[in-house]
Formats: sequence, structure tokens, C-alpha cells
Amino acid sequence: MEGETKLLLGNEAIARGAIEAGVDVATSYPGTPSTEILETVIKVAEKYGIYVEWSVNEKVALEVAFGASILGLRALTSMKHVGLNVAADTFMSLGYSGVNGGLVIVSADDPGCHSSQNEQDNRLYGLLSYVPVYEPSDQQEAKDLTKDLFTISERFKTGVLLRVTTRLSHTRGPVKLGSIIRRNRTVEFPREWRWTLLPVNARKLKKKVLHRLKELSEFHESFDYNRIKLDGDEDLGVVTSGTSYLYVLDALELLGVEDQVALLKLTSVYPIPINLVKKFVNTVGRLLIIEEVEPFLELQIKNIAPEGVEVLGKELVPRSGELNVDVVINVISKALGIKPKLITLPSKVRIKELKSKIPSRPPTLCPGCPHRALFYSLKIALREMKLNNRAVVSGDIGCYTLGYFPPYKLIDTTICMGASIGLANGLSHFLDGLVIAVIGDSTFFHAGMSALANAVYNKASFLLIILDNFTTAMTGFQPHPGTGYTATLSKTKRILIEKVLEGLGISFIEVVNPYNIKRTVNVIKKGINHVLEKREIAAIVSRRPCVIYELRRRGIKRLSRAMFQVNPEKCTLCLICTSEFACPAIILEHGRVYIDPKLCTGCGVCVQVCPLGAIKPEAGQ
Amino acid sequence: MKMRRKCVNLIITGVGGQGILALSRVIGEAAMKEGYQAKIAEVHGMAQRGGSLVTQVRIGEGVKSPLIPKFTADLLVSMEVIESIRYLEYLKPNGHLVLNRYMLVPTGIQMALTLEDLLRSLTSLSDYKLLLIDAYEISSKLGETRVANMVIFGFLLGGALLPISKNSAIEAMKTVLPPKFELVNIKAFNEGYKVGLSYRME
Repeated sequence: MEGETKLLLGNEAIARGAIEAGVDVATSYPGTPSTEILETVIKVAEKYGIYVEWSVNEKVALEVAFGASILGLRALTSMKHVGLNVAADTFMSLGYSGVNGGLVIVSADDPGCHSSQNEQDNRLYGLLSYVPVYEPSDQQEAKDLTKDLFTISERFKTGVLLRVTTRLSHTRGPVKLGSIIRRNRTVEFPREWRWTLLPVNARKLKKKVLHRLKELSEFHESFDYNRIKLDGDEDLGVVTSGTSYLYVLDALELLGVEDQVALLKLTSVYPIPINLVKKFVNTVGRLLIIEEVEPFLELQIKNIAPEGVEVLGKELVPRSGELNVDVVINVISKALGIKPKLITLPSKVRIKELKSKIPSRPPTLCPGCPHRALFYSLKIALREMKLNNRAVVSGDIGCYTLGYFPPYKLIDTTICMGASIGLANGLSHFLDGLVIAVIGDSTFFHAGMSALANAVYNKASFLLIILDNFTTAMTGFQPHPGTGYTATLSKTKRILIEKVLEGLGISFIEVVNPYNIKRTVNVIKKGINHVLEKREIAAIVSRRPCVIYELRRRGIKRLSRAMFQVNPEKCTLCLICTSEFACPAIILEHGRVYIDPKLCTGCGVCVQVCPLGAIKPEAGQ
Repeated sequence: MKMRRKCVNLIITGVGGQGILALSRVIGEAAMKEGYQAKIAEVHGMAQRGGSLVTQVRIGEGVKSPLIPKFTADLLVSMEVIESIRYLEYLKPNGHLVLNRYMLVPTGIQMALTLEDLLRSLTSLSDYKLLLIDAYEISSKLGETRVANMVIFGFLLGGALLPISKNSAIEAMKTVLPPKFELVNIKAFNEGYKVGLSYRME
């Protein structure tokens, strides 16, 4: 309700901003840390008549939004930073053509690689595409800014890039809600030459785009979201943006040096307001730029700073990893030449010592995860065929990437979405041994299909295993084309993966339930033999719903009513269940193996794993 | 360094699946209902269950950064003992460590140290106050181990460790948690509250 203050995730705040702006279309492909943006819009899509979709990938998501924008509609598309690489072709082109209805593209970056393959700084896409870039600092600003960006996009007829990071997206903060604009929706296709990027048009557009960039920089001179604190007698001027601004505020307060430091917080990070920055630089004379990841503001500011002005940046501020208050305290202290009085604990050394004794706890496949059962079977099949150290397994992006870790140690490569099949092409043409590509269902639809068409066409040979768990699991259960449901959970045509495989001309196609270890091992062996003998692709669809998804969907705690227990009289402590199958619910403690009923999901696969029949279901409670 | 304005900083930790996110959100929402500002830095993605999980909750006036500097957390709340040790260095001198009496050895690891060993080590460090509660024992008695996080929530309020009233707490639980489990969650909260009260009396 308008006027109410709510505790919103940064991503929810962005969604709210778009809803307040009267957004007509919202699209996305799920990816941490961006996913909750569309999820939030989906919840009210019907109420406000917003068209929403989970697209097959970020490029298509952007194109759907762009198409709507050409018709004059307001559109939002959100993705994780690496998703913009997938969408980059379209993104670069709309930098030239411009848009019609407001088009906001959200890139949720992940400094520190919390759940990503890199920590690329997508503000740099601004320089490449001439699309303006904005960076909010907190949840309230994210909401307000998103709302206003639709107007800015329409005023300058350009797409706009809203760049946020994990710490904004996944932090909850208070947000005062504003009113929801009700717009008259008129849809018309404007017949303009700029939608056709033939060279003759592109050349003309380039000149227009450069002019637009100048106009944007002038507009940013009096942009309300930029904040300046400048008295004129400070020793140092700090320029910052995004969440770093909040770290700077805390650090200045903790150090007690608020009066010694002038502050310029830029929200319009590209193009920067040149005169405002020049005024700031000239007044303070000495500059420290505090920004996460790349020296993006630093590059632009060094370009316009007059000679003789000292500009400190990445020589003090780490270029890799996230910033935090501790790091920023350190950086500001160095720049000011002061020594911060550090709080510490008397037994700091003993705490360190204790910490060194505890094991790390990396993410693991959940108890009952069908991927574990599949990996276990794959290991057995490879071992029995004496291929365990000779096969190369090309992995992909999803929960199953965890097959890299012990005890499975199966995944040899993980590069980016769909690359399992793409790389398997290149590997299999030249390797004598066996190549296996492992890819999830959602990832297969995202970027796997065209790589597979390539493989069939160019006669690559590898074993393809598609892990079909009926959902996009790692990002929190979004539907995809193989599920038969759309974003709003309305029924749609289900695209069966085995039919796609058949259509692509693959002759060996088997569907297995990975919970059945014996059959899965046999089918894998059959598939491997097919690859080795026929020198072509064999495909296995390992089909079983993600256990967490299924439990949640059915509103149950366990898959079976029975409680699985280890009979200590039969157990010889061979430890196959804890060391090779490695289900987190099976616990080895004080020389005894038992199953923790709090963790067990009742999949029952461990019964097949135990060679001594020591694990048995007991009557349920 | 200067003392900061009145602001309560909490680090909440445990293993994915123990209800850390829900606990953090309930605390944040309850603080908002008390008229404070709140910020909760969460972690989403990669592995729904079984990984190390930490959230940072800040409540009070003028909360800015989502992240808490080391040695400044007033409270470290841990649903699991190994995870409490991992984040111990965030606690300020004389802060409170609220610990669920539970150890979950990471999958595939053989650990010589037992829960008792780790508790002994934690007790021997004198920089902070260790408050122990067996949230799973209480929640199993209620027939639903998943509400252990609300036992801890009740404990925090019973022990007067948070500037939050019981009313706001219950309201926040109703806002955040699924209605289906409302009753058992409130029961869990009340049980935890009682244990917290008894600690406060000591």
C-alpha cells in the first residue's frame, strides 16, 4: 500500500519500482543474484495486467522486452551479470537503434563470485554500447530509481542499464512504497528506419548516439540521485557509488573523520556529469575513488581530472572481491595517513587457533538429490568399464556442478551456460578416450540445443547426460519449456527433451530414473559402448524431480513414510554410504553410522548402495 | 574508534536448511514493527541444504551498510556449533554467543573433535558470554524439528537480548512464516522464551 514502509529485498524493491512505473512487460532468465526481481513481479502480474515470462535465455528475454518497447510499452528485463553476455548481441544493437517505450535492463553483478563463474563489472558495458548506466546504493533508492528510469529511458529514447550487486539485491532494507502509475496502454508499431540496422542506417545512428551521450551527461549534472557533500576545506575527496557508498559512510563515522572528507556519490555512473565531477575535483585537490571490482569511475575521472590533482584508486582499493566496512576503513586510513584503532578480542589468537581446527562446509547436493544418485551410478559404470581416469566429463552450470567436489570428482570442466555440449564437440574430435557432457534441463533449453545440433551435424561423438529434474533448481524452482508450465504456472505445451533429441537426429536415446541405480548403471554402460563403437552421440535423460521441489510442491516432509535406519549388527563400516555415496543425512560419528531423520528425505537410494543390506526402511511414524 | 549510535548487530549462522533466513527475517520484521530501521544481508543460491550459511542483521537508528565489521557484532546466533566458530571473530568484546546445542559434521569429513570438545573450547574463551540452548530437544517435543529456529527467536527475546516486544515478535512471525505452521511456531517461540527468561534471572 502506498505510504507504507516495508522491509524489502533489493530485488523486490526493483520490482516494486517497475510496478509503480506501470510496467507492462517483465522478462528474465533465472540467475543468482537477479532471480527475485521477476519472481516479485509474477506475484502481482495478474492483478496489474503485466505480461511476465521466464524466457529460455537472457538474449530472448531482452528481445521480448525490446519488442514490447518498440510498440511503446514499458518493459523490464533482469538477469545476472553473465546473462548480459548472452544478451550482448541484442544489447549492443539497441544501443544504436534506441527504444520507444521505457526499457530498463537490470544487471545483477556478483562481486566476490558468491554464485558465479566470474565477477565481471557490467558497468563497462556502458562504454561499449553507449547505454547509460545507473547504480543505486540502498533498497529505497533502488525502488525510486527504477521507477524514474522508465521516464529517463523514454525521454532519451534509450535503453538504460541498472547495475546492482549481490549485496543490494540480497539485502533487505526499509522501503517506503509510492503510488502505482496507471498508464493508458496504446500499442502501435512505429515504422521507423532505426529498427533496421543495415550499415547505411547504423552509420547514421552512431552519430546520433554520440550526441545522445553528451545530452545524458548534461542531464546527469543535476540528477537528484547523485549526492555531494563538499565544504571546501576537506583534506580528501572520496568519489564512490553503489553499496560502496554505504561502506564509506560507516567507515567515516567509525574513524571519526567525517569533517575531513568531502564526498561525491554518483548514481549516474555512465556517462558521468563532467562539470559536477570537475568542480568536486578542483575544490578538494586530492581524490580517492572507492568502487568495487573495476576502476570504472576512475577511468572516466582520470580522463578529465586536471594535471597536478592526485587521483587514488585501485592502487589502494582491491580490484578483486567485495568491499566491506573493514576494507574501506583501511583504504581511507591509508589515504589520510592515519592509523585506525582496531577493536580486537583478548583471545584473538586462541579464536584463530580454534577456527583452524574446524572443517570447511562447502555447498553439497541435498539429501535425496537425484544428481547424487546419477553421479554415483556414473562412477560405478566408469569404474566397471575401467574408464574412471580416462573419460573427460564436460560439466555445466547448475546444482550438478557440485559433482566437481569429492567424493564424486567427476566434473572436469565448467565454463558457462551450455558449454558442456559445446566443449564436448571440441574435445571429442581430438581425444581418443570417452567424452561425457552433463547438462541440466533448463540449461539445455538455454544454450545446449544449438550446440547439440552442431555436434550431430559435424559428427562429434560423446555421451550426453541430461539431468531433467523438472525445474530450474539452483535458483529456486522456476519452470522452463520442459515442465509444461509458464511463469504464472498456467499450463502450456511441454517440450519433451527426448523428442528434441529425436528431432536432432540422435539414434541412441534412453530415459532413466536415477533412483534406480542398477538400471542407470546398465544404461550408462550401454550408452558408452554405443559412443565407443559407433563414434556418434548417445543421449541419456536422467529424469527425476528435484527432491526439495517435490517435497515443497506436495507439502510433505519426506518422499516415503518409512524411516531408513542402519542396522549396526549388519554394518561393517565399509563406509561406501558415507564416503562414496556421501549423502549428508548418513552420518558417521564415534565409529557408528546412522541416518539423521531431520535430514533424510526418504529417497531410499542408500538401501541399494549398501552392499550388506544393512540399511532398511522401518515402519513410518 | 568512536562508539557507534545505538544499533544492534547480529550475525546469524548455521547450516542451509536450518531456517536461518526465516529467523533473520522475523527479527528484521519485528524490529521494524518496534519502529526501528533494519537491514538483513542474506545469502541465496547454490545448494538449498547442507552448506554453511550466514546472514547479517542490523537494527536501530541510521543503519547504513548491510555488512557488520569484524569485532562489532553484539550477538552471534548460531544454530550449529562448527558454524559458530567460523564467525566468532565478528563478536565484539563481551558480546553474546547464543548457541544451539547441535553439531553437524560436514558430509564425508571424519572429525576427531566432539560437540563436547568444541563446547569446552568455547567456554574457556572469556571475551564473550556463551548462552547454550538445545533448540532441537525442545522442537522435537513439539513434534516438528523445523521450528527450532523459532525456539531460538523466543530465547533471544526471553533473554532480553533484542529490543523487541513479545507482541511485535508474534506479529512478525505471522507476517513472515507460512500460516500452516503458525501455531507450532508460536509454541516453539514461547518455549524458547521461557528458557531465555531463566537465563535472564541467573
